[in-house]
Amino acid sequence: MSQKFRIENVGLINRDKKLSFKFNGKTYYGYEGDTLASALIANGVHLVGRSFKYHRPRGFFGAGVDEPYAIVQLYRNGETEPNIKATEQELFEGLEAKSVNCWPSVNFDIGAINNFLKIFLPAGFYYKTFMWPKSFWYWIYEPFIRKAAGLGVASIKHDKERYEHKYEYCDLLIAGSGPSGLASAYAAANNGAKIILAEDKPRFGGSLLTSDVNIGNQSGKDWADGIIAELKTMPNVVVKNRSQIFGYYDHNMLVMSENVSDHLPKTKKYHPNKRLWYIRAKQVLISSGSIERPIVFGNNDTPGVMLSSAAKEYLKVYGVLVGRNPLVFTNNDSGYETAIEFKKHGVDPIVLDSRKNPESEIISEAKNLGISIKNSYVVVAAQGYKKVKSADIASISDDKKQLGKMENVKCDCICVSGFWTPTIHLASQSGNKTKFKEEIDAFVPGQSKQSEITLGAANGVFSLEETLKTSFAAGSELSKKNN
Amino acid sequence: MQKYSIFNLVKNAFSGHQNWDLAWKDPTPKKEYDVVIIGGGGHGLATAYYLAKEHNITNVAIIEKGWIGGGNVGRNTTIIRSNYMHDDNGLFSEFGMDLWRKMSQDLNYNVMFSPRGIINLAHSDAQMNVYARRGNSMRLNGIDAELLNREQVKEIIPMADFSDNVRFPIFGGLMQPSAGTARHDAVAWGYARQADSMGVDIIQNCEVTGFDINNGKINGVRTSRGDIKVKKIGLCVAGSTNILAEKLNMTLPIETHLLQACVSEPVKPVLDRVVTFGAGHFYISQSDKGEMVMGGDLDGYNSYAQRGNLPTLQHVLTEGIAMMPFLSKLKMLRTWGGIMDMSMDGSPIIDKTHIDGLYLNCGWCYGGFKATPASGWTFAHTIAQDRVHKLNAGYSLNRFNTGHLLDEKGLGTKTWIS
Amino acid sequence: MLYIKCPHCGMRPQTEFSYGGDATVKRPELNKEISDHEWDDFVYNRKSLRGKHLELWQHISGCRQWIKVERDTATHEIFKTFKADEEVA
Repeated sequence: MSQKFRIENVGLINRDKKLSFKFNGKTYYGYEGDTLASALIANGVHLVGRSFKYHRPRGFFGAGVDEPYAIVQLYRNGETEPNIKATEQELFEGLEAKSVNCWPSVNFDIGAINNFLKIFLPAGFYYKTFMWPKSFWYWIYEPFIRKAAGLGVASIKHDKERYEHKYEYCDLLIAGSGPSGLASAYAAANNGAKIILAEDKPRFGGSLLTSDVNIGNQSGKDWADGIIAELKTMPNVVVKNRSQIFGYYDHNMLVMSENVSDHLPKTKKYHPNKRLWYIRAKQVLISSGSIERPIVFGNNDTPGVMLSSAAKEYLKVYGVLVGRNPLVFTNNDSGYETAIEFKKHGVDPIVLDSRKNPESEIISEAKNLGISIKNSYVVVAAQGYKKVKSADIASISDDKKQLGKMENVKCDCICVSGFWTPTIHLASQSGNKTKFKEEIDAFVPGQSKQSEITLGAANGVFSLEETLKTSFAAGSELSKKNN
Repeated sequence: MQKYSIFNLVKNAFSGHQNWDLAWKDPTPKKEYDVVIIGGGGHGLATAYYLAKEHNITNVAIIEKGWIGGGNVGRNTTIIRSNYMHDDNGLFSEFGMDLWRKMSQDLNYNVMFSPRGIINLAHSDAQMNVYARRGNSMRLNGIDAELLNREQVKEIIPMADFSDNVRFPIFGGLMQPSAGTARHDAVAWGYARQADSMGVDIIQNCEVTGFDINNGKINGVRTSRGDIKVKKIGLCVAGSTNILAEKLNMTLPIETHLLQACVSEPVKPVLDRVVTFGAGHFYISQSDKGEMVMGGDLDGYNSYAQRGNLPTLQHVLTEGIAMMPFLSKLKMLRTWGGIMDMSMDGSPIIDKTHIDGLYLNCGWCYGGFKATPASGWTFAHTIAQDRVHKLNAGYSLNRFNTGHLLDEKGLGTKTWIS
Repeated sequence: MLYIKCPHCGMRPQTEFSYGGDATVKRPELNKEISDHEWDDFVYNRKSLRGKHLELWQHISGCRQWIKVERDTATHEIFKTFKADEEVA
C-alpha cells in the first residue's frame, strides 16, 4: 500500500476500484473518483513541473480549474495532449502523464539555471538586448529563445476524435451547482421552467462537498445529492456535469464545453470527445462561487504551498492529506475550517492568523480542539526548494508595517487563505461593469447589461443561509416571469 | 537617452533594475505645436518618430484617448509580409520590409523581427496559376517569391493535411521567405521611446473633442485636456476614423468592423512558418512564446463593440483544422475582438484632404501592423512636405471617385462586399 | 451571437442571416444627370455610425427576404426590425 497520504474512510472516491497510472514513467495507484492531482498527492508526489521562465519547481496550488501550476503532458489511448491541469484530469486506468518544461527530468532540470541568473532576466529583458551583432538575432538568439518557449508538446498526428456541437434554448441557464445554483434550480424547476444546470466538475454540490454544514436535518452533501436526484427526474431540466460555461456572448447566447470522454481511458464508440453547446437562455443565473485568494510571501510558489480550500478539498473529497505537519496561514476564518479538518483526522496543524484578536464560533471550536493558534503572525517566507521544509514566520504589528523577530518552524505544507474572490468573469463577459465591494476587498457584478443575475458567493455573499434564501427566491421569481 | 544593451542590462542588474530611465515621459499638453498626431498606436508613434528623424520636426504631440499601443498594435497577429501583386501595394510594403529589417538597431529596441517566411497554400490548379502570376509580379518588384509544389510544401509543413480524399487538397503554395513576424508591443514601445527622446510629447488619456477649422484651414484641435493651436494634424486612428470624420463633416469610403483573433496554449515549437489557408480565410503562426496565433474573417457587420461572437471564431478555426488537423487538440488560451477600418477596396488611404493641414491615414483593413514603419515614414513625408510621396501616391482618397481602385483580393485585405 | 427578429419568421440566430450594410443609402435617381461625386457617395462613402444604425440583412437560410434592422453598433443591441419595404420612422 503505497498511498501513504491517503486516510481511511474519508472522501467521495470509490475505494472498491483501484486504478493504476504512470507519472514520469513510474507506476502509482489511485482510486476511481480521484483526479490526477489527488492521486499524486496521495502518493506523496508534489513536484510535478517547472515554471515557464525561471524553471522553478512547481507543485499543486489549487484543486480545480483555478490551478496555475500543475500542468502536465497527458497520454491517452495512443494520443498525447499538452498542458492538462492535473487538478482537473480525472484518473482512469492506464493514464500516463509527464512533467513539462524540464530537461532531463523534473527533479534535475538544466533550465533551472535561469533561476540563478534571474537578476539579469527581469520582465521584458529581451527588448533591451539580443540586438548585437545584428545577424546573431536570426541565427543564435531567436532560435534559442524559441526552443526554450512553450510548455507541453503538441501532437501533430491527425486527431481521430470526433467533436460535435448543438444548439439549445432554455428559460433559465444556471452556471454552477453549489448551494446557490441548486436552490435556484430547484425553485425554478418546480415552476415548470425549462432549465439547464451546468457544473464544470464531475461532482455536483460545489462548496457543499467540502463544508461542514447542515441544511434542514441533512448534511450539505446529502441535501445536494437529493436535489440533483430530483432534478434529474424532471423532464423540464437538463443537468450536466463536466460541463463548463466558458463564454457569455451577445443576446444571451452562452457556450458550454461538455467533456464527454476525456475522463475515460478511451472514447466510446459513436461518442464525441467533447460537445460544444450553444445555449440561448432567456435568463442566466450565475452561481459560479468564489476562489480563495493567496497571500504574498517569499517563495510562495514552492511546492507544498497551496490554498487552504484546496487542502480541505483534497481531504474531504479525496481522503488525501496534503501534509502531515501543516501550517495554516490565514487572515480570515476560512483557514480554521481547514485546520479543524486536519485536527479531526489526527494531524496537528499550526494556525498563523494575521489578525490580532479575532473571535468567532469557529475560532472557539478550533481552540477547544486544542489547535495551536498564533495571532498577529505571518509567514515571511517558505523554505525548501522542491518541497516546503519549513517556514520563516514573524509577528506583525497592529498597523501591519513592522515585523517582529524571525522564527523558523518546521512544516511540510503551508495552507494559505487570503479570503475569497467572487468568480465574476461570466458577468463581465455579458457586458456588466463590475463594482468594488469594500467589505470583501473584491469586485462583484454591478448593473446587469443582459438578462443575467449573479448570486451567492459569486456576488460576494458568503453566508449560506442568505445564499439559499436569495437563490431560492430568484429561481422562483425568474421562472414566473417566463411563464 | 540610456542605451539598451547587454552591458547596461548587467550593470542595472546589480542595482536591482531601479535605475532605468523612464522609456517615455508623461507631459502635459503645450498650448501650441507644429504638428499634432491623433492616435498613439503603431502608425501614430511611427509617424511622430519619422517626422523627428527624417524631417527634423520635433515640436510634435501625439494625442491618445487611452494609452499608447492599446489598439490594433497591441492585439494583432504580428504578421509582416509584402506578397502583393499590384505595384502600389508591393513597392510600399517592400519599402516597409527594409525598415523592418533595420528596426531593432534603428530604435535600439529589440522588436524581434523574425523572417521565418509566409506560405499561402493553393488548393487547385487555378489557384496555382494565380499564385504564379502574383509571384512573378512580386519578383518584378524586387520582392522574393517562390512557387512551391505539393512535395515542397509537405517538406516545410508536414503537419498540414496531405492525406488522400480531403476537401481542400494542397496543390502547392506561394512562399515569401523574407516575410515573418515581430513582437507587436515592442514596436509601439520602441517608436514611443525614440520619439520621446527626440522631443515628441506623448500625451495619453487625452480625447479629441473637436477641431478648429477656419476658411478650410486647420487652426487647432480641442481636447479633453484643453485646446491646442496647430496648423497640421495627422489622423492615425484606424478603427475610430469614422467617429472623427463625423466631427470633421467628412464621409469616408470606410466602414468600421469587428475582427477577432486568438492564441492557443503555449506548446513547444511545431510550426516554423506563417501559413495561410487558400480555400477560406485563416492564417496561423507560432510565436516565440510557443502560442499558436490565429485569425481569419471579420464578424461581418458594422461594429464598434470590440466584442466578437463565437460562430465567426468557430468558422475560422474549422478552416484551421481542415488545413492542420492537429490543431483540434489544442486549447484556446485567449480570444479577443478589435475594431478596424475596412476600406471599400481593401487598401489603405494615406493622403491629404480637402481641409488644408488635415492629413489622413486610415483604412488599413486586416493589414495595418505590417505597414507600421512604411505608413509612418510616408505619412511623415506627406505631412512634412505637404505632398504625397510616390510610395503612397496610390493610396489616395479620391481613387474611389476616379475609379483607380487598388483591389487585391485574397491577400487578407477584402471587404465584406465580396 | 446576435438574435434577430425576422419580421416574417420570428426570432432567429444571426447565423441564418447575411449582412447587407447601411440601409439609409439611396441609389441616385434614374434619368437624372449624376456627378461622379454623387456616385462615389452612393457606392463607397459610408457614415458607419457609432450607436443607432439602420442596416439591411437578408434571411438567407430562412425566408430569404431582405429586412431592415435597427441596431446599436456600440452594444449590438437590436431595437427594432422592419420588412424591407416598411417605412422607418
